[in-house]
Amino acid sequence: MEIKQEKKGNVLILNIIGRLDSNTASQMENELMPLIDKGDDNILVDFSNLDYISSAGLRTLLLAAKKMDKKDKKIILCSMKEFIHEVFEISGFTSIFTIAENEDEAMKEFE
Amino acid sequence: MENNLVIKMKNDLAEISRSNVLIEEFCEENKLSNKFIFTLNLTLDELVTNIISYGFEDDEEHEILISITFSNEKQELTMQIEDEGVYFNPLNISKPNHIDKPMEKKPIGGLGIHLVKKFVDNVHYERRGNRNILTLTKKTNN
Repeated sequence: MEIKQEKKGNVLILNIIGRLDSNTASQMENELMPLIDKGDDNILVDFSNLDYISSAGLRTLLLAAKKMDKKDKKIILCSMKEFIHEVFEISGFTSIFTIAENEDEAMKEFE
Repeated sequence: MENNLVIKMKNDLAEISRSNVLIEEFCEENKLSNKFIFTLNLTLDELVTNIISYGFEDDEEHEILISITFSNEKQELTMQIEDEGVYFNPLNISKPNHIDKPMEKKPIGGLGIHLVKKFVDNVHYERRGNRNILTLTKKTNN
C-alpha cells in the first residue's frame, strides 16, 4: 500500500495504491491522521488504484471522516471499483460518505 | 474433481498478504472470478485477523491452518480455518445495530464478521478439544 499526495486548490488528493487489509490499514492510519491534524484542506481519496479493502480499511476511513467532521472539513471518495463499493454498501458506509464517480465529479462537490 | 490448497499461517498479520496471493493463484487455476477471489480473501482476512488479535493469550507463535477445497462438480468452495486460540464462535455475534446509523453514532470497528456472513453461503462452527474449527462454503454463482 502506498499513498500519493497531490494538492489542487484547497483540496488534498490522496491516491491509495494497492491493498487496504488489516496489515496495511494501520500504515494508512499513521500517514493520514497527521495530515488531517496538521492540514487545513478538504480531502479527496481516489480509489482508482485500490484493489482491495477489508473492515480494517473501513475503520481507518471512518476515523478520518470523524476527524474531518470535527474540523468542519469535507472528505470525499471517488473512482471506487464495483466490489469495493459493495463492501461500502453492506457496511452502511454509502450513507456517510460522498462517493463520486471520478475526480472531476468529486471536485465539483467541493465547490 | 476436487482441488485442494493448504496454507499454514503464523499468528502474524503480515501472513495475510502471503495467504491472499496463494488463494488468488488457486482461484485463478480453478477459473473463479475476480469478485469471487475478492470475497474469499476478505473472508480469510477478517476471520484470521480476529484470531490473531484476540485468540491467543500468550505471545508465543501459533499455527492457523487453512484448508481450501474446490469442487468442480458442485461449483462450490469450502474453506476451513482451524486454530488453537480461545473459544470463539462467530455465529454468536449478532448483526451490528449501527449499519443504518449516521456517522456520529457509528462506533469504530465491528464490521468484519458482518461482511463475512454476507459474502459466504454457509458458516459452521465446531469446538474440537482446544481448537476452533470454522467451515465456510460458497457457491460460485453467488
